[in-house]
Amino acid sequence: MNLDYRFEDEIAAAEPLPPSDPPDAFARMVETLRRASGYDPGAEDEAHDELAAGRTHRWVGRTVLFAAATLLIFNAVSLHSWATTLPPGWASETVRELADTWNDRLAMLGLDRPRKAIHDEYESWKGKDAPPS
Amino acid sequence: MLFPTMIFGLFFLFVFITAWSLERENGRRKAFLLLASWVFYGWWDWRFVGLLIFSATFNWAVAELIDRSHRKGSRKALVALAVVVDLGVLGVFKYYGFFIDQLGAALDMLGWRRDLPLLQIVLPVGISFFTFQAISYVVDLYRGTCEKARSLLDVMLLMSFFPHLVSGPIVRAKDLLPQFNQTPRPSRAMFTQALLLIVWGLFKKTVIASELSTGLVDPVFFDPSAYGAPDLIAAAYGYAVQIYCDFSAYSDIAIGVAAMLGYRFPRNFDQPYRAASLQEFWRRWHISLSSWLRDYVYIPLGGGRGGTLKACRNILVTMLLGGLWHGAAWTFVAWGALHGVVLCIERIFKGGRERLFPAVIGVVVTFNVVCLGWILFRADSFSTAMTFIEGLTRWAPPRAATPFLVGMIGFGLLMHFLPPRALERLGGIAKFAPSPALGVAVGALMLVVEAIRPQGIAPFIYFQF
Repeated sequence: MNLDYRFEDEIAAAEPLPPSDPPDAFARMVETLRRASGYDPGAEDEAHDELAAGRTHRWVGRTVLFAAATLLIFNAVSLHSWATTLPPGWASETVRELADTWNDRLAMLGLDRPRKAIHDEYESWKGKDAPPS
Repeated sequence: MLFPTMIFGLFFLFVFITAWSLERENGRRKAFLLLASWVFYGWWDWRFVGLLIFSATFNWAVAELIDRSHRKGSRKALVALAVVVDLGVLGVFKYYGFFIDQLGAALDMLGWRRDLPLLQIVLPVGISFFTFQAISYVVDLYRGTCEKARSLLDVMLLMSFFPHLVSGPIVRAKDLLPQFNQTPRPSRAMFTQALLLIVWGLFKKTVIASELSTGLVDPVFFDPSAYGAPDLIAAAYGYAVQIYCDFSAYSDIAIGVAAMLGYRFPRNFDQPYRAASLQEFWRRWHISLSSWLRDYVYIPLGGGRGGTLKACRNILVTMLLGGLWHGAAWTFVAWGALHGVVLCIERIFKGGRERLFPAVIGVVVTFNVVCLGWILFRADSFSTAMTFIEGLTRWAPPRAATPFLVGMIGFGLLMHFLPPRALERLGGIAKFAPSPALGVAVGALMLVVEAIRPQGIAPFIYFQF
């Protein structure tokens, strides 16, 4: 009886595993990004457990919040334009006042410029005179 | 309430937050989503919410009776009743005026002029979609391919769920009802893809479809006799791109909005203009309608069984009905007939081959046949369509087709040759991003769309169907 049994020997004696297909460029890029972001998919993608689902919801909630905030800051003119189309009334007048003030304040800070610049650039590219945005 | 508007944005933000705050109470969550769907629908006309409730309640009741009945004859009679009532409602609202007009003209021709009861009936938005959905529920239950809904609430939500309510996709009961059984648990990838779909849909609708519509398609189709071949060809191709960008945008936004609430809808478009045959085109265009017509019209008629002649008859009937589904006008019937005839030609001549032509030639031929169909589809009458087609041989320098609009058409066609599932793959990458970075990126993309889109939003083309 061989009392000098070592598990490692068994591994070494075993048939080598067939080489797996090398991951394609896309899979390699995704894996690199995953490592760089420190995100561990684990059960996340399947969202099997409460914890993972909660984490996903918080992540989505924050994403939507940041998207909405970006638009609220840089696209205030759309809010303003929409408010002017509301039928007259107490509530709509309040919304209009708020949208006006918000739009004016952000314009004073120059935060309406990115939208204007994109609009003007696009209109000149179209070969038309840009209407006021 | 149109998708690409501020009011819908605010509405959806409220629905999104409230729906996820009710995550632990699936019943209340569904009740809330149903109420939100009624508000969404009632925004057009509150009266038609009653029609929606009637249709859902009626089909739920018939489905209950089918489930309890064990006699084949009575089950069959119940299905027939449901289909007749559903199609009857659709017929009254959508086709009454058309058929009365045709009857009046026929009587006039025979010299029996009569004053027929003309009614001005308002077409409820999305009636074709929710009727087809109701029929599929009852028929699938009868066939045993779908489980009975757990409650009336589930059937109401199935038919009224606001993302697909007015222009599809036609979501089958067997796909959506099981998702209602518990609060969904979407993954990060699903949310990311949903956000990208929404932004992409907004871009296609508000920029590409709007630019082509206002700058090229509408003016040329309004008076085709005033333009020469280059403008007419550009307008036909432009409409092909416009209707794709318009309708697929609605589907993308609908799928994205539903996914943000945790529900999966089937894909409705799959780069249709890369199809190398018309049969393939219908596997890629409005997939939920073409599969509906296949399962509930073509196959019950006999499908491909019984030889080529019977198969061609079944194809023609299916496509004629598909054309009529789009609208109560002969131009739509002619559009359906054109597709039916070409599908039959493909079937007869291709033999055992997959396609009639080699792939590249097939793509070009199919696209041009589809564009010919779009001329009939877009023209407001046969005479306009004929004027348009006659003008394709008349030379005049281009006036409406500016380099910018031609570029738009090129871009709209090029997107069909991107790698398949490109957006899903992008979503697979973007899900690794930290939430602030992804949020700001999505906001910035929406800002770009907002900055470049023309003023005003035209309703989606498929709202009229």
